[in-house]
This record gives sequence, C-alpha cells and structure tokens, in this order.
Amino acid sequence: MGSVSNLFYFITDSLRSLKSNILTALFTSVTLGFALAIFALFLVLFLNINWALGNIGDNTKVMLYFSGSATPAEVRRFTTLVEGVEGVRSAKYVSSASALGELKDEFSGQDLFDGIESGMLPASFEVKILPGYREPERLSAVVAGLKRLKWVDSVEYSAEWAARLSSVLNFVELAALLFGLFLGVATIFIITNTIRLTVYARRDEIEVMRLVGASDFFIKAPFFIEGVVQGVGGGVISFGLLLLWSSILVAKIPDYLAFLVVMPVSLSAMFIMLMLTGIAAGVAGSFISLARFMKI
Amino acid sequence: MIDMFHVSKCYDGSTKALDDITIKIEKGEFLFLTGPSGAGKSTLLKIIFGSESPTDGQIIIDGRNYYRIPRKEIPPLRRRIGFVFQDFKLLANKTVYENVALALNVMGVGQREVRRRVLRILSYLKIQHRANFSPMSLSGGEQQRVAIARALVKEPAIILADEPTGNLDPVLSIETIELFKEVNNKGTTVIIATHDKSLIDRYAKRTAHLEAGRFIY
Repeated sequence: MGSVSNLFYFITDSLRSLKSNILTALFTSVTLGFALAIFALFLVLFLNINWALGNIGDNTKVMLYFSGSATPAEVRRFTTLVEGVEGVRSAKYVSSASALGELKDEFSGQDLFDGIESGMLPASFEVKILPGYREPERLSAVVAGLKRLKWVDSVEYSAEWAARLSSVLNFVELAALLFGLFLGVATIFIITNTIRLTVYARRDEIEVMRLVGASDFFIKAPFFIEGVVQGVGGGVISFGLLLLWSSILVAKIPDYLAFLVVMPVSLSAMFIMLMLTGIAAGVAGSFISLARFMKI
Repeated sequence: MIDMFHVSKCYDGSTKALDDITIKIEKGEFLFLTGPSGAGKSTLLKIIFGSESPTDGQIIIDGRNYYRIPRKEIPPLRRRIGFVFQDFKLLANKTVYENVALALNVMGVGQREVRRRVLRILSYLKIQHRANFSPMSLSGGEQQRVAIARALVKEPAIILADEPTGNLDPVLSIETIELFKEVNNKGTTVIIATHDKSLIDRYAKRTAHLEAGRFIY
C-alpha cells in the first residue's frame, strides 16, 4: 500500500513540479532536443560518408593473369582456389574473348581493335578484396597468397590506390572520432548544466525533504520521473529537428551528395533510438545534478 | 529516552561549540535548553536530530547509539523527531496543506490517511482555513503554527524546537509554548531551545543552561 501511495505521490509531485516550472522544463527539453539532434545528424553524416568510402573501397581489385585458356571445369577449380585465399571476397573469370569485348565496348566507335583476335589478350580473374584487407600491408599479403597459386602468370593491383584510400579512411575515422568525442562531451555538459538549473530551483525543497526524514530514494524518485518526461520531450524535439534539417539539406545540396542525409536506419528505429537516448540523458542529467544537493 | 555522555563538538578543529556535555532526558519530559546566542543550543539540537555528528562522546536515543550515525539511518531517526526550526523552513511553492503533508508523504502514509491527519492537526492548531494558502501569505504566528503542525502531524516521540518564539510577540509566544505543553501532556518528549527568560520563569519546567558550550548548573 505504501509503495503504491509513494508511486502516486511521485507521479503527481513530478507533474505538479513540471507544471509550476513549465518554462524551465521546456527549456531543458528544447536544449536536450537540439543537442541530441546535432549529435544524431553528425552520426548520420559520418555513417553515410563511411558507407560511401566503403563503396569506393569495393573497387579495390586484383587481376590474376594466366596464359592459355581454361575449360569450364578448370575455371570452377581455379575460382575455388582463388576464393580460398585469405582476404578474397570473390573471384570472377574473364576469358580472352570477353576481355577483348570489354575493351571494344570501352572504345566503341573507334576501329582500333579491328582484326585483333580474342587469343591476343590473356584470360584473367578479377578478384575482389574483403573490407578488412584493403590496407596496403594486408593487401600485399593477399597478393602474395595469390602469387603462390602455380597456374598464375602475373598479379596486378594498384598499390598507390590502396594506400591513398587507406589514408583517407584513417583520416575520416580519426576526425570523426575526435569531433564525435567533442560533440558528445559538449552534449553531456549542456544537458547536465541545463538540468542543474531545474534541480537548483528546487534546492529548498530537497533540504526540507531531508529534514523531515525523506530517504535518498524518496528525494530522487520525482527527479527521475521529471528526467524521463524531459527526456521524452527532448527525444521528440530532436527527431523533428533531424527530419527538418535533413529535408533542408536535401533541398540545398547537389543531388550527388544527397546520399549524405539518407537515414542509416528506418525512421521508426531512429525515433526509438532518439527517445531512449533522450530518456537516458534526462535521467543521467538529473542524477548528476542532484548528487551535489544530496549532501545537505 | 535521550542520553548524552561527554559529547563535544568542534568546528574547524578548534572552535568548541559543545564541550563535554552529559545529560539524560527522560521519556515524556519537557526541557528548556537556555543560554545566550552562540552558547551551543542549536548545535545540541542538531546532534540529537542527526544533522551534526559529535566530535567526541556518545549519544543514545531509545537505547540506540547514534555516535557517528550512518547516512542511511538518518531518515528513520528524523521521522521519529519533529523539529520546529527558527526560520520555519516552509516551502513557498507549496500550500500549507502540502507543507504539512510532506512529513507524512516521506513516511509512505496513504493519501487518505494523510488527508485525515493533516486536516485534524490544522484544525487542532486553528489554521484549517489557511490550508490552501501559500505559507508566505500568512502572518509570522500562522507560519509558526504551520511549522509546528508539520512537526506534530507524524506524532513523533520527540519534539525539538529551536527558538520557536524568536519571531513572535509575547501573546503568541505563550500560545506556542502552551501548544508544546499540550503535546507534552500526551507523552511526547519536548526540548525547546530559547533565550527568553520570561517564558522559562512562567513555566516550572526542567531547565538546562548552556554557556560557551558547557552546562552551567
């Protein structure tokens, strides 16, 4: 009975407090909403840039050349052998004839290759590399593994391309990590300081509650509920802002950059994540701010 | 009920607010704690209330030693003690009813019972017509009654009052002490810190006189 009565008291007390401090509560939710939306937008941009760079990385390929032609049975066997090498994602056989076909397609309208027979170009395997093996050192190891295959005449790949891509990826990740860290710390700082205002406004109440024998739990519970309510408000606001900002960005940036603001998850999942983060931030902010005033 | 043995309290390592205090206060007793300002009256009440720890000595309440009281044991102790503060410590953003009800809410009392007991104590103290007012809109005497109502509503075993008549005129002062006397007649231990000699002379009650942190007999 006592706990039900307490729960009823906590809820009514929290709602009454939110109502009487409505401006402060709104300010907290809006601040929380902006902070979360900025962080979420950063994450969306980062994930999309990372995804785009990953796609570029998919172009990291190695060509295996061998002389003569291969029967379909040999092609299947070679494919299995190539795909068995550590770091290889897939291997595609390119016969002499199809290599010439591709070349002619590339220079269509010109008669450069007229009269050239298909056997002039070597048959090859186009080997795609797994994402974790695209750095120069690991790629060299994969190439060394491929060179050990006896039937392979030569292996070609662009070491310079791999090195440049790797350095760009490393730079983007480092910059994102530092910026994300800065943004995360700033967000926590803003949230705790804003919520501290609401706690500070009720410091007399905390003192009197302690003096009449309230336990720590009894004092914290209404703040916990207020933190949840403010967090929900912040979550909703941040979701709205994120949609607004992304629609503005889509309208302002060129089409080829539109992929930057594509949501990496569904809108409902994004909404739930922002709500949960908002609630967690609201509750954590309340408790961090409250800790100071619990020493009365 | 309350036993203090050689209790001392030092602030900043040297300033002695209390010096070797030994006193026994029986259950149902009415005690005036007297002495000039700065004599240590408030510190003594705070030690009983658990908001200050003694630097030295032992304090036993109801057979329980509260020397160096653990933090989690302070709330249960305070629920058994009604404290009337000199500055009332009423919350301006709550009504008179809510201020008094707070003492029961922290104990987890059901809302129906809270309502019954709060209205009864407000009626007893003749301020029921002020239940929905902010304490700040009340006179000093009425605020004092609200503070007393909050201390009494939980029917505590001990009432501590720090200069409860400090802000009141002589008539209201006598009325306030009469209230404490009534509560005391029902078996509650009452300890009142005051430097008002006229009140002490008016009531033939036990008096403990403090000067510079020591009892003077």
